[in-house]
Amino acid sequence: MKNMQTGNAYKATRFSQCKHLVVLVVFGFVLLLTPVFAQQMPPKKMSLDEMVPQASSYLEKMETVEADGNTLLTEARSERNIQKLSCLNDTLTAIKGLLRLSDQNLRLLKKHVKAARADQAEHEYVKIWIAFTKVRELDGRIRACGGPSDSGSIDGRPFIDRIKDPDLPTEDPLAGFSDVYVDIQRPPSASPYF
Amino acid sequence: MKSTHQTANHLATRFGRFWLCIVVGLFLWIPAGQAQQSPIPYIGQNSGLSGFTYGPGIRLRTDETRGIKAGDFMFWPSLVIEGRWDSNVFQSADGEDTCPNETQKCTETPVDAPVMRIVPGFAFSNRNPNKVAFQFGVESGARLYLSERKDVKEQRNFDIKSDLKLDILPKGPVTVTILDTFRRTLDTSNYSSTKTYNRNYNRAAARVAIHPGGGALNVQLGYGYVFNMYDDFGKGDYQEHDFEFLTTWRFYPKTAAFISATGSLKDWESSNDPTVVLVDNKPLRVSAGLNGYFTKKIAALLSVGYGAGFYDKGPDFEHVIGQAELTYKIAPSVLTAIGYRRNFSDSFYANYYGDDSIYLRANMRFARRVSLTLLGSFHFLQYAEFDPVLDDDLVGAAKAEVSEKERLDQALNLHAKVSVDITRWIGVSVGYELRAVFSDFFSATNWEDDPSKKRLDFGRYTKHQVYGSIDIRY
Repeated sequence: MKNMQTGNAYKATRFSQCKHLVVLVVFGFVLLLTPVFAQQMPPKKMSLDEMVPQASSYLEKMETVEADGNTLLTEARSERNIQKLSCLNDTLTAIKGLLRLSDQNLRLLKKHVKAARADQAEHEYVKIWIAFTKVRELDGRIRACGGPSDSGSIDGRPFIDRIKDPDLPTEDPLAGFSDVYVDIQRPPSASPYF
Repeated sequence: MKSTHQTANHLATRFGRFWLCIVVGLFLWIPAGQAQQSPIPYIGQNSGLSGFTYGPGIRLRTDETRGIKAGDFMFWPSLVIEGRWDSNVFQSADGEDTCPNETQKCTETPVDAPVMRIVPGFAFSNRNPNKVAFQFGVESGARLYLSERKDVKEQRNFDIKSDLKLDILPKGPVTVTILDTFRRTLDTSNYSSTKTYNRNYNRAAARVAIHPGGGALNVQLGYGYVFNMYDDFGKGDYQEHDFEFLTTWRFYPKTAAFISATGSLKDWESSNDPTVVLVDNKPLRVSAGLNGYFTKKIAALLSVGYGAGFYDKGPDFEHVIGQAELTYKIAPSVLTAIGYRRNFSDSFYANYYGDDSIYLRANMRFARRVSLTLLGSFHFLQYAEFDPVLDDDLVGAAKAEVSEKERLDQALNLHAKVSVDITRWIGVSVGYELRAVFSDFFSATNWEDDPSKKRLDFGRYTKHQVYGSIDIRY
């Protein structure tokens, strides 16, 4: 009986240890993910004074992305890489649009901060933050333009480069199979009927 | 008096010198030209040689260097002016032994004549078709026999060759095709006469092809309606309902497997006429096989099947049919092929004839502008057993005497042609054709002028043709 109790106590101890381990792992995982989520979610409870410099830094980063994109565009032009050019043009157009909006939002943010309108200031700040997040995504896309994944598709459809010997036959083995057979034989000679 | 052979040789020599001068002159002029090299098709339907005039249907010229662009359409005009010498206009037998005895009358003497042909034509189709692919081509040739003989001169006429093809949704998984093929062919009769075997033939057809996915598999069903009308021999008119089924499957390296079936309901206008032997029938042909390249240079066609005539009366053909062909591509522009084919066909004498043939083809293209085509085939033609005298359905002169019940002919066809593209749009061709039928068969009918004598008609004949043409194709 005592042994049994000892066994149960042992199991309980082990279970408790496992539980702690699981909690520790989950906690660690959450801690690791926190910075990620911190970047994904808009910062809350930020003071009005902090908002303007933070938003300005977002805009600077977006302008850097645009500048990098323009450099890549110049390279693509010199390479005459039509696919890459097309991809960069599309992406840069979207970035420029977001930058223009963010500029307007920043001006409004400054106005609301000056007037101490917290809710409206936060609203403008969130819009800038969303634009910044989107531009970061577009930054990744700019760098992928002309890369292996892009060169394998046209309008999203994959195409395959066929590398074959130049002396391979090119004829269609079914050429002529659907031709109409025209029976225009002449009557044979020595036929008493024709 | 000169023999026919001597006359023929003299004319042939004159023609030969004339064309030799032209060809040599052209070779000297060649560097000014800009002709393009086009690939040589290696698989034909091998339906036998039917002459320069009535070969395969009009294939739209797809050479990018030719044609007039008109919006979404391409237009290909052409004009061929041909001079030809025919050694035997009426397919007559030649030789000293054509009259076995005095009670028989021989009327066959080969008649030769120069022939002039002018063949204008055009073809057009739409470029980059998406919903409807349209192709149409027509050629019409005026033919003049330059002879003093009335029976020869009266053979002048015009022929027409026309092909229409309309593909609805050509790139879709289901394609509907509407086809029309019209031929007006000119043929002289088998004896000296102003009457001809000129005919008008039309086949209107519709097909549905299903080719899902990438198009490797194709299943095709079709129906066609045929009518055939002679100018002078109304007894030979017929109409026909055709049904076709074709399944093909392409696979690597450059090969295709196929199953093909064709069936017809053939209705002769004169099937009940006691003066001719034309029996309604329902021919069926089913075959399966492989076709394509097996190495970079060797291609083969293998086809085996079953054929049956299903004649309403009389003997019937029911046998294996098939084809085997081996092609060797010596160089990209030099190709040779040898093959054997077995098939059967309706006949205007007896119910049918079986045709076992061996053939040889060679196509060469060199110096970018000179192409040489050589075609030769030898046929064993075995006619269905038939004795008009014993046929109770025949009356009067139709009960002709024949030399043998089981007619067996051998036929040799040769065609050699050299074409030179002088410029992008003008070229010249010279060629030689031979049709020789070797046969002991003859039929005997009462001589109209003297009933005590028999008029003999021999199965054998030899026909040489030499031609030269100026080909203008834009």
